[in-house]
Amino acid sequence: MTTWIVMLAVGLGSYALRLSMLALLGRTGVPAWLASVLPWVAPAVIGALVASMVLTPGGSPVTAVPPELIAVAAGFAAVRWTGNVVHAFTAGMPVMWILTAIGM
Amino acid sequence: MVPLAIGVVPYALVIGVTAAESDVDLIGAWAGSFLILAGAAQLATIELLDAGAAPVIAVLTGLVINARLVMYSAGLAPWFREEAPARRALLAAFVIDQTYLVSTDRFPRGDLGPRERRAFFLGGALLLASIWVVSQTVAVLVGTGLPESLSLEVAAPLALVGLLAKSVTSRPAVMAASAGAVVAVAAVAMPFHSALLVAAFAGVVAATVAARRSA
Repeated sequence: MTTWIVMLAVGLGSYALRLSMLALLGRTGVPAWLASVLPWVAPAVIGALVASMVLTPGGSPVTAVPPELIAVAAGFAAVRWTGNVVHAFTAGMPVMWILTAIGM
Repeated sequence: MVPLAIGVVPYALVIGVTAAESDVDLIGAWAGSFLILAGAAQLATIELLDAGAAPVIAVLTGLVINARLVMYSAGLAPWFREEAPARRALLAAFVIDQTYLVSTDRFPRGDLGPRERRAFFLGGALLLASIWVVSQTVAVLVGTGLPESLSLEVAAPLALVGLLAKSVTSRPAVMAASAGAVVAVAAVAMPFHSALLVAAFAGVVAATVAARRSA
């Protein structure tokens, strides 16, 4: 039930964000301070999300380099190189499989 | 729009499998596919709930991740100026990364009237949304049946790092991501799983400072 409520709340809140400027018809536009901050929200949150998933699994920091870190680094490099987000998987997953196969 | 719509399939599969492997209510997590209609926010809320975070923190984090939608809403508003309020309320439901990017790339050519713009936007949105929900449904159904050796849990950070690689195109953006990452790890012990929110804030502050310096 909690999951439903959380999903619904994020959904409704996101709808309000989506509707915000469309409803105002861009009359007022995005306030200047908000416009200057919004471009940095996505990289900040995604950087934080990736780091927490890879470096603090289960809620405490890792003590050795996890294979996930190397796989994620490979995925990042592949996307930078090709410009295609799908290559995060085509590079990252095989690296992960190899590292776990050799017992890392 | 078609290649972009197909591009969401792996991401949708990752979210579905993550939901299936987590301890959260599976149907509720799956409902996020159409209730939230945005991958990173849905994935983060599932991960946070699975980690035992307070629901309020999960909601706030999801909304912070989706703050960019305000930017998209503003970018699309001029193109739907002629639409009645009820129509705009409908169009707003489909403001997504892909529909925004494709529409604001296509509309400035100026050869589409208001009706064609609406059809272009809604057509692409419905295609995208149906592929998204169907892919997640498939993943939720087969998710727990997949072997451990596939290491599918790494697919979630991989999906995000792909987006990250595309978004860190400037010095402030690099600062935002680095500061966010460092603070997320350093603040992991903070109460209520609030590390992500604190890290997001730190990242935005770091980027703002970097942008001021270079300006």
